[in-house]
Amino acid sequence: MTTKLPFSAPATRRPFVRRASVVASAAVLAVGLTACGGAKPKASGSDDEGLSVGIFVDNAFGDGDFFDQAAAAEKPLESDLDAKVNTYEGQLQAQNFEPLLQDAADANDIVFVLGFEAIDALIKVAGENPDTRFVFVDGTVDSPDVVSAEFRTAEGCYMAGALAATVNAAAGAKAAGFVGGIDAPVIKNCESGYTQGVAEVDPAQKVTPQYAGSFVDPAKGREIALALQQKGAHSIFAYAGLTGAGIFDAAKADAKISPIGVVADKSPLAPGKTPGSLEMGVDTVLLSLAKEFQGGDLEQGSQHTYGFAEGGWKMVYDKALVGADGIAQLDALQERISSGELKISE
Amino acid sequence: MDWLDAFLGSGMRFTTPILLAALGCLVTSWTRDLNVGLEGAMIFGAFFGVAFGLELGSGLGAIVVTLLAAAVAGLLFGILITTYRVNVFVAGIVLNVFGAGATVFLLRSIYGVKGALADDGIPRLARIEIPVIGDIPVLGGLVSGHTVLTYLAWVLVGVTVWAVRNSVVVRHLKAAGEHPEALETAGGNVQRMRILAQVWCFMLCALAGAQMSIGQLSLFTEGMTSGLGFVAVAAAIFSRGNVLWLAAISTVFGLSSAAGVQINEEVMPPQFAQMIPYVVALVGLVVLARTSKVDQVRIATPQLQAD
Repeated sequence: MTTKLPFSAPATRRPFVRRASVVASAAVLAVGLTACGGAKPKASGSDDEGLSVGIFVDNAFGDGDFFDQAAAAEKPLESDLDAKVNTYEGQLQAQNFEPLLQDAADANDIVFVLGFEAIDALIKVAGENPDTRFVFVDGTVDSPDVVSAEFRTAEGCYMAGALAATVNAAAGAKAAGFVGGIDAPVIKNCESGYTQGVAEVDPAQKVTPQYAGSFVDPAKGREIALALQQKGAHSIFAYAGLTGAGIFDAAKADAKISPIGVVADKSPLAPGKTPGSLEMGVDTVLLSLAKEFQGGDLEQGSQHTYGFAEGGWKMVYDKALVGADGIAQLDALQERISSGELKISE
Repeated sequence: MDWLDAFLGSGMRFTTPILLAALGCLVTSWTRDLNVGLEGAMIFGAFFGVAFGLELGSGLGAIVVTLLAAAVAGLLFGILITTYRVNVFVAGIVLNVFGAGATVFLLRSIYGVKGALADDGIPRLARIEIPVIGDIPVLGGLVSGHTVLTYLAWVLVGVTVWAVRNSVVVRHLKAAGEHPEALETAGGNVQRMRILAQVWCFMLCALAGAQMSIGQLSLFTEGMTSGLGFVAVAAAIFSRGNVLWLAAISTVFGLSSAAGVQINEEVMPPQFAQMIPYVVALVGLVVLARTSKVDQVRIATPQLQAD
């Protein structure tokens, strides 16, 4: 794996780089030196016989969340499709998005782009590079040059709600907490699915929603968790980014709550207290789209949606907290969603 | 009445970091070097509280080392704005930007993570449950079950009130801002007082940050101070140098933050609930501005330098 950083990155000045970063830094230096030497970036992708896949994130890997879920696709892409994977980190430096995406276009056959910040740069670069297929993950991009892959939010949150109600029923609690980052349509979709999921398992339970107004305020997240506990909530679904970390921290310390995570398995944040997480199968999405592309079936500008049936969502459970019976019932419910028998409205 | 206890306890926890940072900022307003970089100093405090906590395995040990580091940083900042005559307003803004960037950078380069650092090795300051008082309704939620830093913040309010009335140091600090020539004539050292104010400010901001990362929580996330440093600056400006006003404003802001967390959609839309603390602050600003007779805060470097 070679991670290309912007050329200006002070790679040699980092005192505590880990080993993997040392390799990355060396790669940066090498790239930087060739760039200084005036060599053109070579378009390896289209010349090689194998498939080259680029993964671009607008921020950086290592978030233990969305981007790391995407990075998990690297190994299966290499082993299953014999593909070469290049990753690109935008580091939230908007001025670097275009050059990095152009690099990605030159070096790869298909490029996956993650992160809303990069949409404008993506549309521009995708328009200028018709030979490279660009895929935006986790949203719909209004451009004929970009393939969109979206997750059916309400469907995933439905299962989170079902899990919350199951855990509540076992604990004798009557309210399921929902913590949203901001009051935005996509979060409202999730709340709607969550509420339907709770009602499906136990119509007697009510949902107590609370919006934090921030995705980066764990101290507030903790206070919200305590306030919801006060209102009788036991299971709390944290759909609020880093604010959610405060909810898990409250569970770890002193609050008697069961936090449910999203995107990645969040049990390390509160081991032994987390009944389960709604995992986003970003890696599955990347792999299946890359396969379609290799087979020549990925149409330009097409829009795809992912749910449980396609591996876009996965539930992970803590057996000790949910119980074998509970998991079996939840799996049966999920099966009804996958088969299309159960439809969830947004 | 359980909800009232929970609400007051929550309000006290919201108040602590604001109060600590504002107490630090207040002193810099006395020397007329109002430090607007509280947010940056706080995020450093939050980060190093966690980093030293992981290293030492002790919350109190982490607090002590973080305080020492903050004192050194405050000394450097003080020298920058006095000896090197960097405009304190500009330096404060730079500190905010630097703090936000540097902690993200350190998080990545030392721990290899992005976003959040949560580890079982991060200590958490003990919550002090006061017997008897803790069982009294209302008073229990207000007084019991907080970390040592919350109690320290209120002790510091008392100490500062006493020091304003009785101590020479505070007189010298205020003289360094209001009448530097007088202080010079009286044999005081203007530069030393201005640096001292910054050292104090940095130390209290570090406590405020550490209270968030290893007091209320036991984790660090990027940008976790989420604007409380700016709230503290506002509180210090509103209070016009008065310690009790400052404590009152911090508490009102803390309590209204807690109210925003308690109020749910059925009562009012979340956007409005989240606005409460800021609306309260704005109303406070307008009221105080109307009653203000003197323009106390001057955001510029004083004329008389140490030379």
